[in-house]
Amino acid sequence: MTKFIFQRIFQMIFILLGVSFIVFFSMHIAPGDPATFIAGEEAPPETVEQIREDMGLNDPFFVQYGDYMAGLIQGDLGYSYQTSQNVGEAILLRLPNTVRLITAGLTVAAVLGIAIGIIAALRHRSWLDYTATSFSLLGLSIPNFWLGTMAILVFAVILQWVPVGGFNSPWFTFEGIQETIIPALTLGLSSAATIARMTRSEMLEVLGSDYIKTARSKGVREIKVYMVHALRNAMIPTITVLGLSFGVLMGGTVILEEVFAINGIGRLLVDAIQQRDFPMVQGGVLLIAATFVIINLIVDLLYIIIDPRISYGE
Amino acid sequence: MQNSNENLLRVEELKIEFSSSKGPTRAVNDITFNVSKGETVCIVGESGSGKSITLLSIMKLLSKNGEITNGNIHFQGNNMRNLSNKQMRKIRNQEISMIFQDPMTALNPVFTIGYQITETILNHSGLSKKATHERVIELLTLVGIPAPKQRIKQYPHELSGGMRQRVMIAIALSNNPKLLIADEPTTALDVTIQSQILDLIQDLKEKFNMGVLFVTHDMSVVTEIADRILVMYGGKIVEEGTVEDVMVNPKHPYTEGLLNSVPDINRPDRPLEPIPGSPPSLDDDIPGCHFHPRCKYAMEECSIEYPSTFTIDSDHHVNCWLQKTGEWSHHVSESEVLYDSQ
Ligand SMILES: Nc1ncnc2c1ncn2[C@@H]1O[C@H](COP(=O)(O)OP(=O)(O)OP(=O)(O)O)[C@@H](O)[C@H]1O
Ligand SMILES: [Mg+2]
Repeated sequence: MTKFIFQRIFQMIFILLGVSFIVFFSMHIAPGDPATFIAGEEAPPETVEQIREDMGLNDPFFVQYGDYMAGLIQGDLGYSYQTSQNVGEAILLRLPNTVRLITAGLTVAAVLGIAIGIIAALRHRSWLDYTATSFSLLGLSIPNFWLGTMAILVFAVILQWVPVGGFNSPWFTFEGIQETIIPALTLGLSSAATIARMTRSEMLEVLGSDYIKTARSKGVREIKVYMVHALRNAMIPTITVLGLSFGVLMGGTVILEEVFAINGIGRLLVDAIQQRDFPMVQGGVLLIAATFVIINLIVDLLYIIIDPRISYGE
Repeated sequence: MQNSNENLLRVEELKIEFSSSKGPTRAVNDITFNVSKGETVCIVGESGSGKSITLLSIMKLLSKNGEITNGNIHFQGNNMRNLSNKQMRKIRNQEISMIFQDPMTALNPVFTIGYQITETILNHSGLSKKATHERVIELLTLVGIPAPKQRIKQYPHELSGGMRQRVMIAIALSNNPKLLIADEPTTALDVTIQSQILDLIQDLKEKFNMGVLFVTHDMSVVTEIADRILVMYGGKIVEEGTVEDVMVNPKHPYTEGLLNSVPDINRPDRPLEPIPGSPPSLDDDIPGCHFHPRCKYAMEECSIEYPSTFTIDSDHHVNCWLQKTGEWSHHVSESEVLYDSQ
């Protein structure tokens, strides 16, 4: 078990190395010159050239990459071309907003998805089931930027129940929840739909299995048959989907932070890409990659807790 | 043989139908039988004859599309036909327990053995934690599981098939039921384990004076454990009687076919003779006796009217037109002759 975790962390280092290289390389070959951005459109070519030289942009690719990696090993993500801010600090400053959005979105996806999935399975072939199934299809086919925009229009502009955008209040205050709820619903909806479908079909399959018959023959209450005997088994494949949803949610934040004017990593990244702020892009992407790998590890560890048949190592 | 006439279970004119997109199909049609205290009744028959659903209907565990459309099920004199699910829950495991065919899938893979037994005990009694734990150990010891204290912490996948079936039996016995229903509990096990499990069930039956209703399609299992046999074909009981009567002196050609299709230790040189054709599907609407298309003695009237019940002697009944004339009686060598001369 410990060995497994160490192996995975070791693997993670290589994955992140690979990611850093790919991002560094693609930034290198991307059109657009950071020096021009810094100097401004009208700056004389000599000034631009001087900036290039100062920033080391004229060095060969591998020298640039080597310099960057040398810094990275010491925990130094470099400085923004644009604002000269320390990249690590800039990210840390924006991180809480993104974490809040993703956590809330994931909660919506998991709670809504699992609940709807269970209800649909329990009321198989009833109007509740059909409603839930249609909802899932709808949730999967509506693009979240459109949904977000509509939600702002309806709930913020017309009904004025929630602010138009931005995270300005602490998490667990009334205002905090008020400003989080619509972005979280928008972000989590399509994942909720995927999870609902998965939970429903898994529950239906599990409910037909022999051990459910055994449970009933023992005199177990129906509610316990569903919520204990069936659900625990149905959750095993659902967890995989939950892990995958995390990736979808992270992608979603990039767009939705823009839509809801939330100052998070996604927005930071979009701005950085537009301004050819290489170090900022690097830092942001590395963070996202690392989170993704860690979430995958957590999902694998969750399997062990939920399914005793799985063990790593031993 | 038990002579006590105390009826534990009485199934009366039971009909079970399944609804499907094509309309209702009758899977069990008008069966009647008893199980007494301390008695082992075996239901035998080919695949699809309705054995499992008969058992499940007694437990009220038929799947949603299945329904008892006629008849009554009396347990200790009380009619269970109209019991609510809540009332049924009190009967399950407390009065009637069931064990299933495949021990590999009958236990919940994500809970420990200990949990699955504990839960069963606590469903029906308010025992303390300590008393429950002791009871779990007692049950595991009873069904011959070594080192029960370690076993309770294990998950089903850590146990062999035979051990899992013992656990299932322990679960079944948790609340001292009066009737044990077993649906081919040894089919999925290899032969040596099979006879161990059969012995265990027999021992426990005697120890607790339980009634046992045992489904199998294995004639050698029947010889080993049954007091009485019910032979089912196409959703009906076609012959019933004591194990001696039916095994030695079968009156229905289908029973004879079942016996001839398995080796007989007493006559190792007898050729095996599988029943030709295949069991009827529920959709087939066979007029008269369901078995007549496969029956080598079939007569004209067999395809016209379902045979009435003929009583061979007090306990031995058969539904076959051959009894009407009284000419036919089972004799293996003779049956060969009859077959050839046809
Ligand atoms: N849920 C169901 N829906 C529709 N038909 C069913 C259902 N369950 C059983 N049947 C039908 O009822 C008939 C009897 O089934 P049953 O399972 O009792 O057979 P069996 O005698 O136990 O056979 P086996 O030896 O294969 O276990 C079969 O023809 C089967 O197709
Ligand atoms: Mg069966």
